[in-house]
Amino acid sequence: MSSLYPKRVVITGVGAVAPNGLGLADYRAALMAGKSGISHHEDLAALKFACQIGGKPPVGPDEAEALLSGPDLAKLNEAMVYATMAAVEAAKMSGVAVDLKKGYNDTPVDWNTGAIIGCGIGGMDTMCDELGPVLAAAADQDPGMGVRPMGTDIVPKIMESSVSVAVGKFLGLGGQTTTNSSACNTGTEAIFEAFKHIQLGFSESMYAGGAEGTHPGTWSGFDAMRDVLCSKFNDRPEKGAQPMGAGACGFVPAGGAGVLRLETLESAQKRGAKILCEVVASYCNSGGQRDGGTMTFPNPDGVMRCIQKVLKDSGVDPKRISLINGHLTSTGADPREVGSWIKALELPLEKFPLIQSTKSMIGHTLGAAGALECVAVVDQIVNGYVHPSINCEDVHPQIPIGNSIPHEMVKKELEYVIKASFGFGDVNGCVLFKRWDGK
Amino acid sequence: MAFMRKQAVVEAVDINTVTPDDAEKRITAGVKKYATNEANFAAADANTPYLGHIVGMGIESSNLADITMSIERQFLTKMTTKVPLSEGSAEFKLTAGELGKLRILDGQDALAATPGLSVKMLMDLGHMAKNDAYLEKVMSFAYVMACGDGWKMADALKKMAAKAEKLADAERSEALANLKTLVAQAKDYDALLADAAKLAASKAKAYANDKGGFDALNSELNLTLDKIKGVSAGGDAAQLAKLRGEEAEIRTRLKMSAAKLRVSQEVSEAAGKRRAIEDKKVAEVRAALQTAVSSAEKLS
Repeated sequence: MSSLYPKRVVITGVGAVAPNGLGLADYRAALMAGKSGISHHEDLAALKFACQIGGKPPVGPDEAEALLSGPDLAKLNEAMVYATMAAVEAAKMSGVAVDLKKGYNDTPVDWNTGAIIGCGIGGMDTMCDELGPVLAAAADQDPGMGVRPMGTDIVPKIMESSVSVAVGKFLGLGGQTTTNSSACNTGTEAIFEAFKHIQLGFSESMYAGGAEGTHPGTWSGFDAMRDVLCSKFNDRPEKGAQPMGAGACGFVPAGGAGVLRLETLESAQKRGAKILCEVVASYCNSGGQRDGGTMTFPNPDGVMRCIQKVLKDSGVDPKRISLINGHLTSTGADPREVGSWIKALELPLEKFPLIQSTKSMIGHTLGAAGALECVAVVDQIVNGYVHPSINCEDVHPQIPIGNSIPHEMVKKELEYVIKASFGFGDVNGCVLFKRWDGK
Repeated sequence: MAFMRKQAVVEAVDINTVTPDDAEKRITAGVKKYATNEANFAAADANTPYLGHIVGMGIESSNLADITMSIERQFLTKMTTKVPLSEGSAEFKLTAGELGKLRILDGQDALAATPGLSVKMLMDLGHMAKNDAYLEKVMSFAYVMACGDGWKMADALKKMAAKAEKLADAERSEALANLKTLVAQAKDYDALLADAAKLAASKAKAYANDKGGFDALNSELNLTLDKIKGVSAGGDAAQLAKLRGEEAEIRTRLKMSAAKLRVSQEVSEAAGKRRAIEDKKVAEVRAALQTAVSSAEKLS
């Protein structure tokens, strides 16, 4: 069986802003070492959250100012900064010269490249810290003066498309530049949308990914749902995320950004860009919130159909899959997800491929999750390794493929790697990557 | 703001307790976070435009309202009593009263293109005492605009020449032809800047055009108001609603036209008046234009 798609799409650059590493090199080192980026946060403790641990990227004023000047930073929310950092790294890796501090206004528009950078809950830091206090005091002001202290940059920082337009601005993108949002499937969906966009011939190249801030406001709703976040490991934060583990008690919230540059094989070869790997197929669907699927739980049939559609469209025999990078959040949904993978791949359990959860180290970065995990997949393919899935030495009893979970880093050449994400609203996404073998 | 270092909170001061120079410094410092051209901001003086990257601070036009708000936050004034412009009108002017928050009303900041002109605005509005010695060093709005156009033209010439230099064959010929056109325009503009009377005549012509447009809109409004009066007597509700819609649309256009007219009137009135500060700035931009022209001509 051959691929459904008329165009070959490759990855030529990736960028990562992860809780356990800023930039691909640090991210890779942390993934290989099984290093957790989860820590205890005083601001969450002060707010009396049940879950007081989270994954925040190692970014402060020094790191932000190394990329952008103060006036540019003032116009960005947290997620926009992360998206810009990841996109600039991806752009540089793909061969684009970028130095935002030297200036970007005079660089020519790249009419052949666009961006689909998603966000789960955008601009919460701006809403809570800038907009909220002004609005609260507005009633006491003179007419016309109530909301003026918000300033004129407030809308670009709270609009949903803030993350993509930031990337578009700094990289001078002339193709479609937009933001998608499908909860925790956002990052993976962005890659699917970019893949589709290129297949349809609208652009030769797209930056795709997701970004998410770490404001307590973003995490508060999940904390209010009680059993959704991990609240039993406030004293041992690095043990909190236990995807597929017997002690998994909820996901650990996190933020960051992952961006990948997708482009046609022809475009990459014409530019002389280094090809990292190939995107063979991708798909997104929904379980319809029926048959076990709800606003917060996926319909297993929907998950299975999503994965099988990708396999069918690619024409790839499941036996050739070297690794699964699951959604696997460290909740009660993990065994169900593994069950869906088993059904979708239709392989004997002893032949089941390796399966890992990047979230075991970075937590759940929500709208950035799929993208950061795809960056991890690409890096593993390029460098021939499988990162460990930590904190699941005791595998959940309902997960029958314990032998497929790597607890230590494994050096291994990977041919096909499949990655899936799922999100609130019973939405699913899946991408199949292939090692680039030069032809 | 994400990853912004904490900034010291500036307490508002009574504007009449500071000198114009101090007010200018406070105004300049207050817009730092919007200034994307750090070098120009660091060297900014009374006549450094807020907007523009060539000689300006690089503040984006979308942040113009923030400049005004920054000024409002920094000063207290006694011009705080609201007086309606006409009986029952929601529009008002500010007159002397108790010391309170400075407020700059819509349109009052239209000409405040530099820190010096912002101080002048505060003086013109009666918030602070007029200081002729200070105003002597503040370039007029008309010349901020005129010089700004000159800097933009010189920059465009430099960029086009640099681009043409890298091209070959037919592309180079085409680029050189475009460059020749731009050189001619730059020479014309240099000549215009050299002669204050010519510049004034040119700006007067632009003002006359804007005034014509404004007057035409006023006539259109009067015509519509007459029609409304006629229909009101007849009682055709649908027709009346249609005319009211037209009236609202004309008033919106009129407001925009009035703002444009105010700027072109100021430019027209001041274009012929040149003091030492305007002479100095004109000389600087003319030198830049002539250098750019000379380099461009060497290429062809």
